[in-house]
Amino acid sequence: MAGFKDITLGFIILIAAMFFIYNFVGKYLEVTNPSSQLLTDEKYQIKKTINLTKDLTETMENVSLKTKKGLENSNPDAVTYSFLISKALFEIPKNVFSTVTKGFETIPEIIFKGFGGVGSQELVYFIISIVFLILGIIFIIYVIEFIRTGRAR
Amino acid sequence: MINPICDVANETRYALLNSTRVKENLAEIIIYANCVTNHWFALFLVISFFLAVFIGSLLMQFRFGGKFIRVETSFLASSFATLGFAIILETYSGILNPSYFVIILGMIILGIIANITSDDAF
Repeated sequence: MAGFKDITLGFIILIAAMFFIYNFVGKYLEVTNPSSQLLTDEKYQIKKTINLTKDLTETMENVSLKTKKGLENSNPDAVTYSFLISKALFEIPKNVFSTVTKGFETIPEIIFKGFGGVGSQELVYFIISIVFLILGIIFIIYVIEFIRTGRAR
Repeated sequence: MINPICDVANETRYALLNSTRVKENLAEIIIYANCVTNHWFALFLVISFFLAVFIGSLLMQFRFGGKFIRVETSFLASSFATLGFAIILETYSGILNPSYFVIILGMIILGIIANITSDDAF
């Protein structure tokens, strides 16, 4: 594997996979065995990860409800209507962006805490933080290269 | 870790096994075997399942792909299969220690990292 794009794509795949696996495990055990130690004990983190994803979806739902309510309450005055639509058009990318930043907050919760029960959490945290540091430096170098030469990758 | 099914529910050192109990719940066989082997049975069941899927997947790659095999893909596939097996065991409290479950999740993370960092990943 080589290149900034592949590493970023790999991280996205990893996060998405762990997102789905943790949710599947948690939801399945919630139905079949709610008294399982994996769900009741705090240190296994599965419940917390499910709640994190629930918060994300709830935020998006609140936004859509708010926008819908705003549009419904408006009088069919042309100016107000277009203003509300443009406001919603502004709100959607803003909330997508906030969802993405919240997703970045969930990365350590999903990856690092997966090793929490084993006890190698500090080591994994150290290794992955070095990888993220290298990714950041590569990104800055690419930006500088783009400014100097005009070639974008 | 003390197994609650062995020591609390039955108030004996080992679980009791008879045909009535097995008829009511087939998992009693695993619970009994787990009790009399001091909680090693479920762990070795999971390990042997992992090894069986892992070696089977590797042999299949040898047969279909010749010399071109990817060990990490077999590792990831067998980790996924083992997770499914561990979920089935986890539906009864006390059979499998949750730490082993977390270890399997960690193995899946390592398998995904090994797959996305290999040369012909994308």
